[in-house]
Amino acid sequence: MRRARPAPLTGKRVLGRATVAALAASTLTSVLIAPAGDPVERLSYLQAPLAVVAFAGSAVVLIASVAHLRTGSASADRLAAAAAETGFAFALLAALVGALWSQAAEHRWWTSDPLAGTIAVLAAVYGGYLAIRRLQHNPDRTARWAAVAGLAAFPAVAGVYASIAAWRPVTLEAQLTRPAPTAAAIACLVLGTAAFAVGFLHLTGARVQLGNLEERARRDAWASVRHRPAPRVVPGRARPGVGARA
Amino acid sequence: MTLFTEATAVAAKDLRIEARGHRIAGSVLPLAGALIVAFAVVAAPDPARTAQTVPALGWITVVFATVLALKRAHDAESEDGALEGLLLAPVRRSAIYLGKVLALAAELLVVQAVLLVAAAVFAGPPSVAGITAAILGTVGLAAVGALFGLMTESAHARGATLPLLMLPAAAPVPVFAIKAGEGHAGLWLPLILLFDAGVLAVGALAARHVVED
Repeated sequence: MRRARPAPLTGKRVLGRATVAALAASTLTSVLIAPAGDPVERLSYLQAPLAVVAFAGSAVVLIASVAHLRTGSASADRLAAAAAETGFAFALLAALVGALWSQAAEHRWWTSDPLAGTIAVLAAVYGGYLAIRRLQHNPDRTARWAAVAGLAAFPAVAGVYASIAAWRPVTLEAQLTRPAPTAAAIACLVLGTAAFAVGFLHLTGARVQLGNLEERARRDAWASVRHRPAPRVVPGRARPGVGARA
Repeated sequence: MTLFTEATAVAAKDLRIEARGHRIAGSVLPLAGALIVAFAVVAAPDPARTAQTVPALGWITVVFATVLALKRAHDAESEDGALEGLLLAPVRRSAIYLGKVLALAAELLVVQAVLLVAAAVFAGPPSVAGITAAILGTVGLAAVGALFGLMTESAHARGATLPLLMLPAAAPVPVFAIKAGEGHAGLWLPLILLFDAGVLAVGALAARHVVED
């Protein structure tokens, strides 16, 4: 019996395998190498990279939105939509990990932590952006409005980020009493961020590809409707499909 | 006509409608007053807690008032195709947006003034930084609200969609304004100004894509 030939390694497959390998490496280093006083603290090696990548996703949405408004490119619109969907998933995951951490450490699901608040606002911004994509049936108008919403959301995201930076001096005392992050901790965070960034690229690329297929299917459906021959009507007889049950 | 003249003409038109229809005085102000009084009475047993919570509750009230004011403005403009008439007028789309911002900011500032007086009664007089933050924050809220209000003008599910879009985008405004009122005004007031400038720039540049047909 002949063995099936393995599928050729396309860019998408390479990115998929790189994502799995990077996430596995990041998880292993977070569990085995990363310094943590309490095992629960290891969740921070998940939450911070997820949050960073979710923020980076909003920058992708902004750039793609500007490109769409300037050129009217449908590809830029599909990229913005895909990045928003992936970014929304990452923001929700970051919020979930933060809630788990908070519950394990302080026995409550929500703490008034600047990062937690920022992630919540980011998830809400992404949610609003995705809602606007379902507001209109006109695809051109949907793309245009979504691009404007992507632009308008950026001051909110930047503002919330600025509020974290501004909040930091208030909690400086608490920061000073903590030990400085070690090289191992920084390496684990960088590896985690790189792993989730590769995952973001992979998922966004797959969503863009799916969007292209949806667009092609929609175009084919329209073309088939347009080129379908008109039903032949014989005088004195019922039209096909009309009154068939009667 | 300059952009400013066109924007002020649009704002004057909106304010004239408000003066004749009493939308703010008739529905938004009573709602704002009822909310602040209800919250203050609930928190009354603990004066320290009242002082801490009243600024945040005031901002929640202003955000509610913004949504309500936009809803009433939409109702007024959808009558007899008034919006179509405005779009046919020889004014720039960015002027329509900026005019809406001016009018909405003026209306919300009236609400803010009433709320500041109520807050002074329940929780003590606000600081100068708090009042400045309230004015700047109201402009930012109006800038966000006017943009999404124009965007959802022709949408079917406007009632549910407008708050969904507006609230996350306007989220930094109450945070910055409340923090400015609590202290560190030198840090938070420039942040509100930057936010206002950013949203106004985005709105003015993107208005022609929103108010197109």
